[in-house]
Parts: sequence; structure tokens; C-alpha cells
Amino acid sequence: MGQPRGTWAGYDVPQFSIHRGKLQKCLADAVRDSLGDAAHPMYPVGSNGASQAILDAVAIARHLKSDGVAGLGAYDQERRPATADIVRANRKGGPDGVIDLIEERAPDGFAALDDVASPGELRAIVGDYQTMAGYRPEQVNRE
Amino acid sequence: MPEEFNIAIAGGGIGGLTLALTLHRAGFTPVIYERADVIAELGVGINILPHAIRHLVDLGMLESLDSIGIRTRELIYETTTG
Repeated sequence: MGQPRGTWAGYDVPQFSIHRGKLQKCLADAVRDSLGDAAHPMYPVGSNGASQAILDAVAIARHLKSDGVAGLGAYDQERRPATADIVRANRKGGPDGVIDLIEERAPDGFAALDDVASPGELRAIVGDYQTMAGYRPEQVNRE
Repeated sequence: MPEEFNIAIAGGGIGGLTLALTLHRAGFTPVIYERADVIAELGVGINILPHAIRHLVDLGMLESLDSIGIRTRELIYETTTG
């Protein structure tokens, strides 16, 4: 995001591929930034493709309104850390990783889920992801 | 902040359209560049999380979302054996 970069959240990413062709000419002097899947090099599991894109969009608009083009720096500072952990977690399977865990431990199935993994363990995978991605009920509900 | 610059949005997907609507509310007049001639569904389901839906509701989209979508009640993780 912001100025052209070869890496994002520690990973190599292609730079501004959407600006090839027609747009390239008119945007030669433009300040550019990205949001959503264009900004986050991840497979968008955990419903975090569209959701993080929406949160990015709202953040860009807020910073552009308050500080103009200069606000893009603050957008970057706000959304990069907020999404970097999601990118990393999704590369390990995200909340869906709970399925891999159970299948690995009980390839032939199970009678009771508690015999395969403790409730605490399951909460740690799915619940921690909720907290990180910011959508636990207590994080979302308005005061 | 007065509008002293033009805003071009490359791509009219969920992010681009949300950005355009939000910027419009903030007094900007962004232009979206989208290569598709029409906005159409791709046959995939998209779940949008509560903290993101909240912003779409702020944009006045709750009623229209309810008319075309299904409110997520629960999310169930199942292995191949159940």
C-alpha cells in the first residue's frame, strides 16, 4: 500500500498489476493505494476477503476526508497491522484449520469430539481468530 | 477537507463499490473504472462478517441486503467423517 513495494506483511507481492495499459498513462502522476484482495496477499478464508475489503474502504474514506491525500499514510498505518496477522493466519488455514486438526487426529472419524480435541483447544483456534479479525460480538456491538 | 484532487477507483468489486459509496457520503465524487460491462454474480457465496456488515448498514443497505442475502445464523466446521 502507499508507495510501490515489493513486499507486504513480509511476503513478496506483485506491484500494481492493475495499473497496466490504459490506466497507466493517466495515473502516471497519481498517488496510488490499494485495498481488499489487492492489498492482502492471502487466500481469503474465514470470510475475510470481502469483510476486510469493506473495512479497508471505510478506513480510506475516513482518512481521505480528514487529511486528504496525505491521509493515505495513516490508512496504511491503521490497516496494515490490522490485517497482517490475518494474512499470516490464513496462510496456515485460518479458522478452517480446525478441520485439518481433527482430521489429522481422527482420520477414521470420532464418536465424541471431546475425545479428539478439548473445547479449549477448539476455542483457541476459532475464537482467537475471531478476536484477531475483530468480529467477536463484544468487539462489534455498539456501545 | 475540500476536494482538491480527483479520485479514480480501479475495480468495481465489493471493496471498490463500498469505497465509492463511502467517499460519496463524505462529499467526494470518485470515478470507478471496471472492465466488466455489467455487475453480475459469479455463482459464489460470500459471507460478510458483522463488523463489515455494520458499515454496509451505515450506508443504508440493510433492507436491500436482507432481500437478496441470508443472515448467517451459525458457522459449522465439519470433517469428511462429520
